[in-house]
Amino acid sequence: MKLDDAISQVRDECDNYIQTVQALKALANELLWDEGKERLVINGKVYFGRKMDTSHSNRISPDAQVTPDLLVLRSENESYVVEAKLALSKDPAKRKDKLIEIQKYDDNFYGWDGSKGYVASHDIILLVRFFHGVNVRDQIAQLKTDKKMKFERNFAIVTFHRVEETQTWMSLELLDGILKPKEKQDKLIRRDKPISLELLVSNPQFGHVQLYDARPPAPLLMHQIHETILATLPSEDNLLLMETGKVEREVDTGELREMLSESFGPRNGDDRTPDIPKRAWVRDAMVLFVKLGWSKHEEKSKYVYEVRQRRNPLDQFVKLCAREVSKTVEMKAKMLAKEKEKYPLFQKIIEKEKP
Amino acid sequence: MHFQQKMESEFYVVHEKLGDLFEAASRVCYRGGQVQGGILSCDTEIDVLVERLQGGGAGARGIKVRSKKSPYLIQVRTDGRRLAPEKRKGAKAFIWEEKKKGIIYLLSCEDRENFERLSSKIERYLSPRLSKIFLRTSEIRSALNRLTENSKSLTLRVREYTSRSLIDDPGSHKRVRTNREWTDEDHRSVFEKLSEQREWISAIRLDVCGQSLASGKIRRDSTFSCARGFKYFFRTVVSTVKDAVVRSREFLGKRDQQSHPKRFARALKIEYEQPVFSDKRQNGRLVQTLKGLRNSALSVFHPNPYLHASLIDYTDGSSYEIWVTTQNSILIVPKRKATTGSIERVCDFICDKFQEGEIKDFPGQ
Repeated sequence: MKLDDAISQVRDECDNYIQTVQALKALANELLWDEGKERLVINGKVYFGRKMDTSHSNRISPDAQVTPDLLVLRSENESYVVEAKLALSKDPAKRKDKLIEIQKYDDNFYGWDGSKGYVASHDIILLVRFFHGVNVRDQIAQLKTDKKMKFERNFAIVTFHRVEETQTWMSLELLDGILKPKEKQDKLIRRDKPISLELLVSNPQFGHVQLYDARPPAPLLMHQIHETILATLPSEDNLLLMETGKVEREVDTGELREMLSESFGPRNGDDRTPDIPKRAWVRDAMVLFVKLGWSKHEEKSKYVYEVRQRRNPLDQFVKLCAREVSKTVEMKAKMLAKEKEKYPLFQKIIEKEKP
Repeated sequence: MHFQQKMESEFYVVHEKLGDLFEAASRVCYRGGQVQGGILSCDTEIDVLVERLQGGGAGARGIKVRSKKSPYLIQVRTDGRRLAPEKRKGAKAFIWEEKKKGIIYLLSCEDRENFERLSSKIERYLSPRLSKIFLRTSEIRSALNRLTENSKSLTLRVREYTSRSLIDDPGSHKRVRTNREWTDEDHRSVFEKLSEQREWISAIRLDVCGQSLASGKIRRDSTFSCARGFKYFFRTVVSTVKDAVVRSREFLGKRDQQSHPKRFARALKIEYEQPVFSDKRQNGRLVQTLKGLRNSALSVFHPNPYLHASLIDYTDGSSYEIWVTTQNSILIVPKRKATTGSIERVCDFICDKFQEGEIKDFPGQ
């Protein structure tokens, strides 16, 4: 794979992740929007990830903990569990397991905010990209016919895409299924009221969220780490950075994770809030910083980060990751070629089973 | 003794009272010299700043406090290989505060260049407690209008101004031109003309005629210089500009996540009357402009058709998300840390180097 192609691939991954977060924000905004009063429901709550306990009767994950991508508590009788699947495979066979797994949300969860911890019922929403929508809908219909999928609660497929006109909008469409309340369902079917992107990014409550319960592409997380380290430098170090052009900061991945979570992750403030970002993600990003020569590994979770005035950090992170991608692809291609050479009679099978 | 040296030796003495300093500044102007000054925003008391300036760190950086009470005399080493030998002697300025307003003044009789060196060295050392505030054309206009409305006998004559305007030629590599005009007009007609021609002000030199006479210049970075009638100029023009500085600071300050009890950031918008971004090439031009901001890093996540970028200000670790999702505005969302000085710097840079627009609060939903 050429480096330029790898760069495009990494940039696309970053854009997909950012889009997914925007889509979740758009849906949160929509589900909390009160059409009558033309504002967000005052006591509504949004959780970009929340650890929920499943019941014994859960068909997929009994007596376990699951973390849906988004939970919205609009009122006592209206709550939603959302799973975003924006990076689905084009191959229906590869998609199948991911779709079947969504049934784990068809359960009476414990862990909702409030004294009881339960809600009467919730609707389940699968959020997919506009161009995946019809295929996913048809496949789910087939899975239901084949009795491999069923829902006791309301289940809806909502698609999302960005619309460019005089301004950028987020458009959501209910492609299939039922949602409460009926007015919301009708509005989402009509998709005549897109949401302005700038309202989402400046939303005081969740505008800051840039991470959800899925590993972000490394360049995004590295950029967030770079920003966070700079934002938490003492003013003496800021001065030193301006004067000498360089300052070293010792970081612990655990502390760094906390700071990242505070700046970019969901903040619900209780023990059901998932650790976003996960410590492993931060550790892996720090390893990449070491590869880039911006950081040194001291011991266990301790790193020394060298802060410099880097002019375009994202480009450097993207290039580094693209080189990694390119190397991996080349390595895999070489291995495949070797295997083919070794077993010439099975060339077709090897080719078919390549990852 | 050289004229400038003589003036400096008389000006830079320990003044017991602010009134004595003002008298000395007036004498400098009377003798044909000029005083330079600055209005800075401060979030602490001057004693705290002076204590820091008296510390070893300041000494090592060539900053010394030469007097024991306000107005404090500060001396700053202005070294640099490119400087002429006579400028390596250092620069001096007086510093005092206006307590209730959170304002610090600087006053010096150095030349403009030397004063800027001194001022930026002090600002950098005392950042983020001390920050520079920038004013837009509309703010300077309103301030001067208020001044003439409050004092009917006072008139302001514009003698010179520097402004900027857009270059319409699509083949041009520059977006903005700088214009300089020498004139003798009422300030209202000058601002009217600027508005009609869609120009924005960089600096304006005024003659103040009222109970007394004064002449001086004010700039969008809240610095000023005075060549005649210092006391009157300070009481009228500087004082009214100071009020605008306080308003700007209050509007733009404390917008980052860490300033809010619930960690909510407060976004703001630079809005234009025209659909500037209907031509998508302007996204690229904005990116190029922002790349020119000193001591900063710009990362572009999405360039077109909408713009999404992240801006890091290395001077104090502030950072922002920059969005262009409409045809007539730029949305700036402060992140974890965004100091007043940094927000001022970023907004002014966009307004001065890209195009001046109206800065508005954008509360979202």
